[in-house]
Amino acid sequence: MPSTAAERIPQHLGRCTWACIPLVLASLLTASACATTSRSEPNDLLTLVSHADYAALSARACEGGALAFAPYARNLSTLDLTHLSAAELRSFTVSKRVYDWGRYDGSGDSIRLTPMAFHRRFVWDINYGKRARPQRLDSAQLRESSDLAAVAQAFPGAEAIIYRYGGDERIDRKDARELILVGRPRSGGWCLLALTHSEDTV
Amino acid sequence: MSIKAKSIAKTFRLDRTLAALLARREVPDAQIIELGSGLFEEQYWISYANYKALQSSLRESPQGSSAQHGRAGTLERAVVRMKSAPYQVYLRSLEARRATRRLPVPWVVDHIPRTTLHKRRPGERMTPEYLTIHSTGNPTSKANGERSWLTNAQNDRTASFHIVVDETMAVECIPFNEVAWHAGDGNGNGNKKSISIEICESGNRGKVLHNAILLAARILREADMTADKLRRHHDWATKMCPRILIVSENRGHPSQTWDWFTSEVEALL
Repeated sequence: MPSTAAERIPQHLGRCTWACIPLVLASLLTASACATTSRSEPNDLLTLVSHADYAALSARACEGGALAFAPYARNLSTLDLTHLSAAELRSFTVSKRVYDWGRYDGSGDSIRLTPMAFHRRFVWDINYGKRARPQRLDSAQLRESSDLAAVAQAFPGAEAIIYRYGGDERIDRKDARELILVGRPRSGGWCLLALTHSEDTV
Repeated sequence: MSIKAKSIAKTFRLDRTLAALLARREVPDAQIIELGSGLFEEQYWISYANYKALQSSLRESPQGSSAQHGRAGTLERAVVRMKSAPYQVYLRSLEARRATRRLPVPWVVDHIPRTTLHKRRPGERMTPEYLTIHSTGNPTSKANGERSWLTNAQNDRTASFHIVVDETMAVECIPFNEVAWHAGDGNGNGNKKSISIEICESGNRGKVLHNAILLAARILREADMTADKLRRHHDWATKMCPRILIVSENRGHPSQTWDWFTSEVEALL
């Protein structure tokens, strides 16, 4: 992602003549305003996820404080979603209830875990803040991504922020994994719909 | 008596009954291979190995009648003819056919131990009824790397496969008569009754698929299965796998479809 104002100048304006300086300035201002929203929102959300602060995440949810979870997101015909209400999210860290979150890749056994056990295995399974590089897909890009077709189908019009750890090349990147936040823009920010996850599968 | 039977009788100087049986492919252990195609040019040859088996079964039969011994005698004459020039032509054609079906890369057997963590080799016996095709979904991994991952201490998944193939080799990781966890269908037929091939997505896609087709054909032949026993991982679960054959964006070439793959395998059986 562009980090400086100069980098945020759209490429087609990069070779502009003096005559279009006002246009460049206008573009910079717009880009800067957008970047403030688009960069801070995901970082805030990622911090909340890292702390398993699901009560705060529920407050950032798009619909009634509820959020959906999926253990796997890529190369699927349908997404295996588990919806947790605002009340369930508030008790996320202390809940002893065992949910059925879908099926494990390979064995096909039911993923029967408490919320925090699921969080440790399928949400914050590594420190994505340190080890992953975020990539934002707008709704059109998400729709066009064949690997993430099931996400686009489950959440029409949604966007995705993908925190991808690319894996260790010494082991053929078999340990690669992703945290994928699914949400959509809303006035003054970005709201959350789902937390999904991806990893190398058979 | 059919034209085929007449042709066989004439070619091998067999009695009509045996020729008719051969034409109808009703003789145990006898394989009849069609070489010619013209109506009056059809030639049928019994392979020498199958001839020996047939001859042996006829002689060892407790109810062996004089007629059967007679048939063995006619087969004896037939094999003399087989050893003549036309039979050598047949052998060469058979060898050429086998060469086109031979896996051009090494098939390495490197089974993971039964003590592998997370029950990736459960050791459960299996009688395979299907052959399931996967692709790794990993654009960089090779067959050796996929095998190594199965015994890597970082791997915490109950997921495995029988054999993996890339452009240079095939590595057998779990014996074909044991269960591997690959289909995602729990105790369903995918996991419990099918052999799995992982196709690597790295390397030259054409070469990798060529190897995978030859490997699939060989496994089907050796397990006495037909091409209609081929399955996609997607047939057992919601996974879009093998994506390199079923998702257009992941194909190396638009022609590399699932139907193409199965027809290529079938042609080698």
